[in-house]
Amino acid sequence: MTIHVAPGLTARDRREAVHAGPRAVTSRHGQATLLSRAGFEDVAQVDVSASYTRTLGAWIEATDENFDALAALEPPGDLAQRQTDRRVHLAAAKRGLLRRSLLVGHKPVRAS
Amino acid sequence: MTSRDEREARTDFTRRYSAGRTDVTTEVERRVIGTDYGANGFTTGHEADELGRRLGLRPGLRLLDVGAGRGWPGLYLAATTGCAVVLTDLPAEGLVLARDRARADGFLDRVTACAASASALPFARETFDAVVHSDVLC
Repeated sequence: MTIHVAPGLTARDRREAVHAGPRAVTSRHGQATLLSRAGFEDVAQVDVSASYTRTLGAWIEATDENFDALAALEPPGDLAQRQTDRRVHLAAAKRGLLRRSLLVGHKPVRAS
Repeated sequence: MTSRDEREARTDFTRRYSAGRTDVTTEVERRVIGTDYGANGFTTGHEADELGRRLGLRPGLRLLDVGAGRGWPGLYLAATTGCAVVLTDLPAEGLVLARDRARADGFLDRVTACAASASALPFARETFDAVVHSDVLC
């Protein structure tokens, strides 16, 4: 399960996606290509972006509703910053700049 | 992920895993993704079930969960499918919590935790029948 920059973006939108997304969200090649190059076959990629956007929104909402109790568990400012980052992330996801995929590949069985 | 990204992620998650969990954190997790394994990402319970199904996980198989955090989804997959699981990540704090959870749930015998970088895993080739990672490469 991987978040990645949406394919086919303009240079500007790609920069926005990389800035808004999780650490190291960008890669030179698509995720399915990376799996294939690692030796996996029959790579299937399923787009789960709708679920991802919903879940990210739910994290933000649930955290807002319980903010004081959750913030007390962390160093001052950490949770507030994470919520700010999440909102930037969510905006990019809603614009389709960031996608999330379920990828499954299989290693070829070696002849014995 | 660059070395700097990895260091920053490790520092961030070490701090978060050390913070402890409360009824509120558990309730928030259950509400958002339907689980209570200390997850903080985007893989829902339904998606974890889909992973298990697509990978054909079952008793006798060995699963590697890279970037397992506090055990999600590897621990859940071991619990629900009967497979064995090796959990790997760099913040050892999360792995300790994962083992505590496996012990409490009665299947520690099928769980191994190994603090290791995803770029330098200490396993021989073909050790595992399946590998999962959830929001780790990003």
